[in-house]
Amino acid sequence: MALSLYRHEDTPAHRRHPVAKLLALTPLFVAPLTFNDPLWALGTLMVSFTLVLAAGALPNLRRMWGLGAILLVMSTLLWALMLPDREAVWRLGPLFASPTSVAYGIAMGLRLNAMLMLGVAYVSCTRPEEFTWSLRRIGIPATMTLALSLTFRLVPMLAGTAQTVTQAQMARGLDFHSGGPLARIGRYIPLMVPVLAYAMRSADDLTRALESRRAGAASKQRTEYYEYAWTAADTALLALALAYGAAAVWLRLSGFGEIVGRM
Amino acid sequence: MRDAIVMWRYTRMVVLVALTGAAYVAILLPFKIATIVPGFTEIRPASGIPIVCGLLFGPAAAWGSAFGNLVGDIFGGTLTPGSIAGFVGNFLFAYIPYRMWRVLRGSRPADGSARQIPWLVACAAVGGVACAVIIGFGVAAMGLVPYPVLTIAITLNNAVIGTIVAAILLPILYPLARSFGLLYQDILDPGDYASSGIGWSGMIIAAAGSGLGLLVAASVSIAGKVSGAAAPGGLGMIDPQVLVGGIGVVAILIGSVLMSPLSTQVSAEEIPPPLEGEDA
Amino acid sequence: MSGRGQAVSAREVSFTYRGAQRPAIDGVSLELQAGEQAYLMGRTGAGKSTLCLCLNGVIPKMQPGEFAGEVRVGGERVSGRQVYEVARTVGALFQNFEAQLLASDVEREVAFGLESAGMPREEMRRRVSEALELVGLSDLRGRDPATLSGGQKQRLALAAVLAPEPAVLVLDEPTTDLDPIARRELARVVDELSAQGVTLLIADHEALDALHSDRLIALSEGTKRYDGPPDELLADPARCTELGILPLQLAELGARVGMALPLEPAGAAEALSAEGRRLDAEECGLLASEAPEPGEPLIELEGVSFTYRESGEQALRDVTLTIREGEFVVLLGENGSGKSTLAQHLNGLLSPTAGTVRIGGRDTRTAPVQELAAQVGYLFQNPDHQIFSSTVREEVAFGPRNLGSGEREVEARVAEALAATELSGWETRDPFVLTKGERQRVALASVLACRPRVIVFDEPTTGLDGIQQRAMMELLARLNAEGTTVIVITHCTWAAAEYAHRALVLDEGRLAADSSVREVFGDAELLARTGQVAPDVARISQALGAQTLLSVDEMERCLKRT
Repeated sequence: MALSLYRHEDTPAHRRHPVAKLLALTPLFVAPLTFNDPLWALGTLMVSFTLVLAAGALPNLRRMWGLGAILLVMSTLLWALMLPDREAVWRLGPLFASPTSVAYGIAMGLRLNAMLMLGVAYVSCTRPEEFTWSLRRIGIPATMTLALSLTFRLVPMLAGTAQTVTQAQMARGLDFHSGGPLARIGRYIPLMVPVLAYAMRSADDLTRALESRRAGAASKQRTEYYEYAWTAADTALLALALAYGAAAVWLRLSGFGEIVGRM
Repeated sequence: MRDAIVMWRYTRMVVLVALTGAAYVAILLPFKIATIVPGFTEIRPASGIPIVCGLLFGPAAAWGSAFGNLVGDIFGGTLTPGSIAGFVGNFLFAYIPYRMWRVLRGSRPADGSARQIPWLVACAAVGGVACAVIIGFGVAAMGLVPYPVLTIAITLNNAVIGTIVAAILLPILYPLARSFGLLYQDILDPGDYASSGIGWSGMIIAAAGSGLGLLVAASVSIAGKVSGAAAPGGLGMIDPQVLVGGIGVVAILIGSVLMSPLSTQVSAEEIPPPLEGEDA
Repeated sequence: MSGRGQAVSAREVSFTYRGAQRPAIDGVSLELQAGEQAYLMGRTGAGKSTLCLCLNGVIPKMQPGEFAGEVRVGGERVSGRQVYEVARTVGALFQNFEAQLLASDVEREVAFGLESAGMPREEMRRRVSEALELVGLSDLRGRDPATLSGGQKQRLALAAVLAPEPAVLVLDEPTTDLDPIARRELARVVDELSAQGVTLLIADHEALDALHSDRLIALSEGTKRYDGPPDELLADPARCTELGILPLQLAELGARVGMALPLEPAGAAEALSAEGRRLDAEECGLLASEAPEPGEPLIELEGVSFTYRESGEQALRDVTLTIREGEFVVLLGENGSGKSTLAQHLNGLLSPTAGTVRIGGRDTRTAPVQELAAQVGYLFQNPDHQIFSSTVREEVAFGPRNLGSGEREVEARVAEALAATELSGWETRDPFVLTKGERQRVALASVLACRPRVIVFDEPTTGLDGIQQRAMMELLARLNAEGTTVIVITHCTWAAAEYAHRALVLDEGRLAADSSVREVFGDAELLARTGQVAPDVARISQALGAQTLLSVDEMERCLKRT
């Protein structure tokens, strides 16, 4: 069963050094976090969207547009009703909202979408293996990154198990789509137990496989199969990302892109 | 948190981290009971997994839940800065029940028998609320979602649904884990997980922090908007409720550390490869 | 990879698992010469896996328990050495190969152990290429292992074991989950390794494969009971049965007619003719007419096609067939030919994308799950995919409760199902800790408790030893004789030939054949096209110029002296 969103393509984004991509993520995420004016938030969204295109991630994004739309609507709704704004214009019983709170909600919805897009772009052009490799490179202990990459590897195995278990129990008459939420919890037990039991049954084999391949050995003696050459393009990516993040912070501190000020 | 570090010496614990994480994702993604806040939180029976696995596999389940949450975000395409809060929250979602059990019940095994249910509920509830407060705070501090929304929604899923599921799963899975030799007591050295003398104070601080965080969220959503408060979100701005939530988060973190085996002897750099430790 | 001389030597090796009552292996001694290919056989629980674990150092290093004796590999003692050190000399592949894959990338998977050994990158590249080449996966570099088929995953796991270039290879039940094609592919790799001088120890239940090896070792209750040339033991069906090995058909036939027959079909027909034996045409004709009369139509498929939505793969193409009451039907075909997809249409787990499926006259698209479950029971290959209760009784009661039976009715059905599967008295046992064969019976009981008119069973014999395989098929035959319609998917041709009445052969989603088992196993062209192999008795009966016979019993009945 394939679950990974990684797309087998050869875009410039795919070719960047995994460490460059990982480090660039932080300033890239900072930019959308700075503005709460919908127009400026839209600007950061456009930057994120450009990165989605550059990473060949559009098909993945297309699958998620529903989630993005729901987040936008919900965010607008939640913030419109919950943002403390005394100059409320619209009232309905205890609820009130104002043009500012609605605009703020839209901005937050765009912010969420801008960040989701960055995440989708990143996972579309970076293999799980490259992600864990870059974590090791920035100093996370090898044993931990090993466990993380093993988690990536085991999810499809157990998801396949979960699918078969679901069918096996349906074949015994389990109908877990009917009834109220509380009644339905009980019906998930016959689905969860076999998956967890299967996981436990695999523990010994996995332990042996790890031991016999000396996985997670101390980093001094290990070599790496994959070689990633750091190029000028990687430096450029990192520099651009940092400049983008820094510019966003500076603009906001200078009073741009905010409709709701600080305390 | 000596236990959470020394466990990396044991290959079986490394495997349990990955299996807990993978099972969490594999059950999290397809099995959904209902939606609480569309796009943000659903009721998912998988929320019982960190609790059950925490009581069975100890610190391996803490890392497993954290890794699982991260991997779920990556597979699900929802990798954002919020994933960091998710990582910490889910770590404690398993870690707190495991440590609280040791404080409350000592070396008595958590086998899920009917008499143990009150203890189980206490441990699971604090862990679930702590996770909710941390995620709610983290996400609100970034201005993504109003603090009460996620805090209450995740509490509902984690502490209520998670506890019910855990109470049903534990008596079935405990004998299995024991017969496979996968309980953390079977793998770790007793010195690795023994509580420090001040475990009780840690538990009280963590529980108080969780309670405070939840209370603020509840009072804000009940009382409506607090007039005069500035807007949350945006760079450098923190609104009072988020601030109080932050105090809760600090208490949870301090309490969790005090509950854990304390030692200054092991640091993260010293994590050895798993092989040498297995036969120790 | 090797020089002549002793590759493996085990002396008086015993091991008792922590908490076990008796030793899993008890004083086993064994010597393997470099380049030798040996088969390890015996009942489930005879100690085969334990012995394998002793050879690669997992026991006593990682497994809690009591160890005695000494194992040397390449002259060096195994105990005391780290598992990964031993692994460079003794590679091991276990039955659950899925749990031996550690990476999300094919190349990285093979390089895994080499990286931690600190091997230079150029050397790693060479070895990864060679290992992938050897197992035939060179084209799949860069793929995510999760997207590979079962057979491909297994060969990938093997490549990872081979990359450190071990001199000894231990394979524990490597073929159980494979279709005939994948088995052949694995056999090719194994032969290639043998030719390169790798010492091989293969634990398996398939006597036909063991016949071609250099040596056969049989264990029983933890002790070595045979160690010698394979044909000597395999020619003795009584001793095979005693050791839990399903006898070769020709050995059994030879014993029945009082002749020492060659164990392979090629020579057997000539030997019989030379002795003046022939197959009686009249008797053969009678056999064909003895097929039971099928009853009412139960499941009707009309023009059924099915395409998986996620992958867009068309798994079934225009399948039309009818299953009648009282039939025993076998579904044959290669992996990926659509067998499981078809089977899952037979109880409404899947609904056709085109065409209709009717069960008891009801369209499966509109009938509720419970109603279909009450009519058609479905057993998945791995019983662990459904067991979730802490007692056998609760597990078996799950189905009837879902169907809304009252508690008294549930109790009666549980008792009846346990009796049918010979599990009466096991009500309070914990199903999780039973053996695989026992767990499979619990799973069968839990389906029988719904009192279905039809049972669909995906691979009923997988993971069972020869004796358990026969017992499971006998159990299904008895249920069938008592009126339950049985449909099995299997790669096990002898079981299909001996027990089923009718065969459905699938080929790339199309129904390539739907006729009596006798006709299917008699159609050489069809078998070749669909990757099937007829059992030995069928092949020699054809070679003797008679109608296809399906079992040793039939052969014995029809063989006459001229």
